[in-house]
Amino acid sequence: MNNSSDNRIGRSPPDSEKSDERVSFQFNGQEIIGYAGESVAAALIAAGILTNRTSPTGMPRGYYCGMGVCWECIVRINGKHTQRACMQLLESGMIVETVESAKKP
Amino acid sequence: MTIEEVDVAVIGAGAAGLSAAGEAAKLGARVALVDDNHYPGGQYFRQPSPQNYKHQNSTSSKDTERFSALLADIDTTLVDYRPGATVWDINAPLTLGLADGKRSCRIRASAIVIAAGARDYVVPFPGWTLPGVITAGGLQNLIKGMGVVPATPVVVAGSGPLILVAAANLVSAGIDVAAVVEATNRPWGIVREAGKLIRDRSNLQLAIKYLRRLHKANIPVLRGYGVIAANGSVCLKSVDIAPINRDGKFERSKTRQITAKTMVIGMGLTPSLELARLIGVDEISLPLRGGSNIVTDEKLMTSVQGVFAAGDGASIGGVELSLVEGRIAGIHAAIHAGMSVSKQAESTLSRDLSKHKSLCKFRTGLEQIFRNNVDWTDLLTPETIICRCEDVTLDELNQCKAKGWTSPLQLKAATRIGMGRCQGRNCLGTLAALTANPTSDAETYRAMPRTRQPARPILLSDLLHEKLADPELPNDPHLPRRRD
Amino acid sequence: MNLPKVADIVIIGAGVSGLSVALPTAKAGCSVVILDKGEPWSDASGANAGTLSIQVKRREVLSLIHESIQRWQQMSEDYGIDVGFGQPGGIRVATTDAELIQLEQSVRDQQIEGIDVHMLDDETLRTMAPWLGPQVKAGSFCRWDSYSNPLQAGNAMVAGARTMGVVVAGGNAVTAIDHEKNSACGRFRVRTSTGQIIHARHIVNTAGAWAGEIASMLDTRLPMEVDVNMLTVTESAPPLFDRVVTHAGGILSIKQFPNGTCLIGGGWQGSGSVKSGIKQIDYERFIHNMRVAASVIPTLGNLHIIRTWAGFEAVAPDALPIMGQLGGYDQAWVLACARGGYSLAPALGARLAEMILSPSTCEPCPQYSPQRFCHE
Repeated sequence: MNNSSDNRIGRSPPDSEKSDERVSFQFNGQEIIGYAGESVAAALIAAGILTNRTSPTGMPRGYYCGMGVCWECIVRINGKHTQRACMQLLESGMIVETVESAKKP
Repeated sequence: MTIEEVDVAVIGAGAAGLSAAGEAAKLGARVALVDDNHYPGGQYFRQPSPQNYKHQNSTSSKDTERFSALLADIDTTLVDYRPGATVWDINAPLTLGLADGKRSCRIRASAIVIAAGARDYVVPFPGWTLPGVITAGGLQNLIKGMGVVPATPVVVAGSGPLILVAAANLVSAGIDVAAVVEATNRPWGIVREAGKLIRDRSNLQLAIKYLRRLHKANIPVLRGYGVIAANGSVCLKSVDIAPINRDGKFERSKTRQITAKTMVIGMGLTPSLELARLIGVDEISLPLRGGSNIVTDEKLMTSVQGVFAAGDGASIGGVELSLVEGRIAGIHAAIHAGMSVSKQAESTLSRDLSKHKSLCKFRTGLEQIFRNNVDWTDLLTPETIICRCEDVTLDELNQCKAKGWTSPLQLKAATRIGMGRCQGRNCLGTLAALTANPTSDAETYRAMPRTRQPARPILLSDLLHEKLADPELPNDPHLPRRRD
Repeated sequence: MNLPKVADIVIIGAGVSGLSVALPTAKAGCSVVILDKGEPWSDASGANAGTLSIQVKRREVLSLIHESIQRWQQMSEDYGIDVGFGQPGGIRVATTDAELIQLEQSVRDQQIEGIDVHMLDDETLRTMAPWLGPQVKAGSFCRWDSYSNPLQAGNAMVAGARTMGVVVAGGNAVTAIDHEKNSACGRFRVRTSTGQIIHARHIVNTAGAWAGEIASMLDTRLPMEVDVNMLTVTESAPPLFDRVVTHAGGILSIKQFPNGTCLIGGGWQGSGSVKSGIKQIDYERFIHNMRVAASVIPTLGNLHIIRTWAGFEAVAPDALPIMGQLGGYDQAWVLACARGGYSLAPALGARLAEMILSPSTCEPCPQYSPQRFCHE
């Protein structure tokens, strides 16, 4: 289990009374803890996951622009094909998977 | 077919959009404020999610105050604020098409303000697609918006004042910055010279403050250097930097390597022009910095009647200019939509017009400071990815050119460059540079693929929420079809 | 570009029709110049879904389309041109009772002409195409239905033509055509917008939506109507469906290319006109096209649309190809305005090439001759 509270700025410690709502989700079958309302990209990066997809020639790709215009951070969420991880807000129980690009013919 | 009618439609809820919407509402206009983010603020006022989030970001109290004021101004029944809505179409007469996953509709306005903001200006280099290489905007969203620390050590590289901002923010957040690598190699005396041109010293003081912060933290600031490669196989491991000589070329014999797990690359910004291009406004290209700006008059109206443009989405100028322009455009848009100008609006306008002048001077000064003669195409190797979405390398483009496919459209057809999800945002600028007409910027632009709907990718099912009467199959008299 | 002063054949319009005449005539040794007012392949050929479907064709052109698909398939063998051909077979769907009746009739007519097509019973339809939506009532199947990649084909055909010595010159609109009556071999003098003049033994009008304008330079009228077709392409997706999908009512074509993108050809029209040169998406009709697409293949709804665009397609009033001698001149020809001109081009181009090269021995096609409009 990856606890993503270590790479954070200014969050209350997880065991304090006023801690922000932590939720768990899955990435490629691995359980990860993040914070409700943050972007899926933030939760993945905080958990040390930098690659979320492969490109048409099989290169690893990850978060790049953070504002929804580059489409590098796309993942499959709950079976839905391409969702930008930086624009999707994390919800408890989300099933997030890498997107493999169609191979370049 | 229902089309919603408003007085003023504002596209973008960043600094310029929020100001515009607020001022228009003050004059009594019914405003639709459309933004594709879930929270207002755009890039500069990028804010954390409201749920229980107590992180201390580096927002100054001044920024917190004026952001609150902006939000207060749009908190009126006159403003219909629609977050999470993508404007995918804009057409005459002054009609937007938008969809937000629950609704799909058109909005017709008497005046439109395009405040679509900017995005990072892209310069490819070997290894730029490695996980761990992120843009300056991407870093800001991570730290400011989400309170997440990027993997360390971090190298900040590029050109322009924004990378100083990025580095300073990292330092404030307690993050290990291995080096700041900035391309400008002009002497600091220029800063003083520029300072003489500027009346509004607040921004300049901020820039100096950032530098002081970096010096205090003993961060090496390497000026006149650039990153020539990002290294790693599954993710970033190190970056190679080299000094830039007087001719703007990289001196590879003096390459140094710096260990890094994150590289923040900032090459400045460029306006997001897709909607402006769809409606057909006049643009002006900028040889000094590349890209182009929207041409506007003193009311910030574009060449299309009733379409105004403000902020970084019209021309890069930073937050101060965006706020001023937002107000000017919002007031004039409301007047264009038939609202009467108030005394307060008149005095806002006169104050803002003189502020606008001095801020533009500051911008020119800043551009002078950070001007460099670097030949960024000198970085490219045959293996460098030019189109990230379709994995088109420089070598592939050169091979197609050798086959006689030399125009941008032919290269697009042969390699699929520009046809991926980012709709060419990360590659068409480079394609233009690689196929540029040496004598005419206008010709270069004309040869490029046209902007088409959707202005941003839109989920097909999001369009199906539109309330349209079913056509009478097979021959609906109102719907001409292909004759079979 | 400097154009040659003399050519055996000058073709006006560098779309699929023009290139389909250029290839066989160049192969036979003619010197060929193709002129286009803009970029080659930029109008109807560039606003094209690439569908090569037998099922959607009118009875009159059934044998022609079958031959044409084979020529598309053989283009790499015949000319070394890779057009991204695929033959996954095609399903033509009916979504209303009226369409079902139409479809069944169509299948019967096609079977009479020897086409390998049949109605699918419900079970077979759902097994073969589980990705079809519940609103699809029935479908017919033809294993010869195919596609070529329209974007790839354009570049490839232009490059292939050039390899064979054809001069393909965009940015050269034809401004005047004069017939040199006193010339021994009946030459034409073709003037272009770049101020150049080419003396041509034959001219071939393949100018599509502008074929009428070119014909008028030879004092001939070509009646046509111009459609504004809308195309939509999605992002790349894992394989979702494996047949070319067409529609009984003619309002839809959908295919997925090997690169994963899905190309939707909509039946409802965009807006614009040849006169204004404007070709645009019509908002309402575009959404109707998306509705039909998503009702036929619901999983398309999960994909992002990356680009949508419109282009002109000129059609003769009877929706049959216009092909043959033009304007009473022995050596002026036309090939234009075929409904489904993209799929029919290789066959029609080969026919016309034959007419040009061996006028005495080739079979005439009076049913396509522009003479048929002279009685109006």
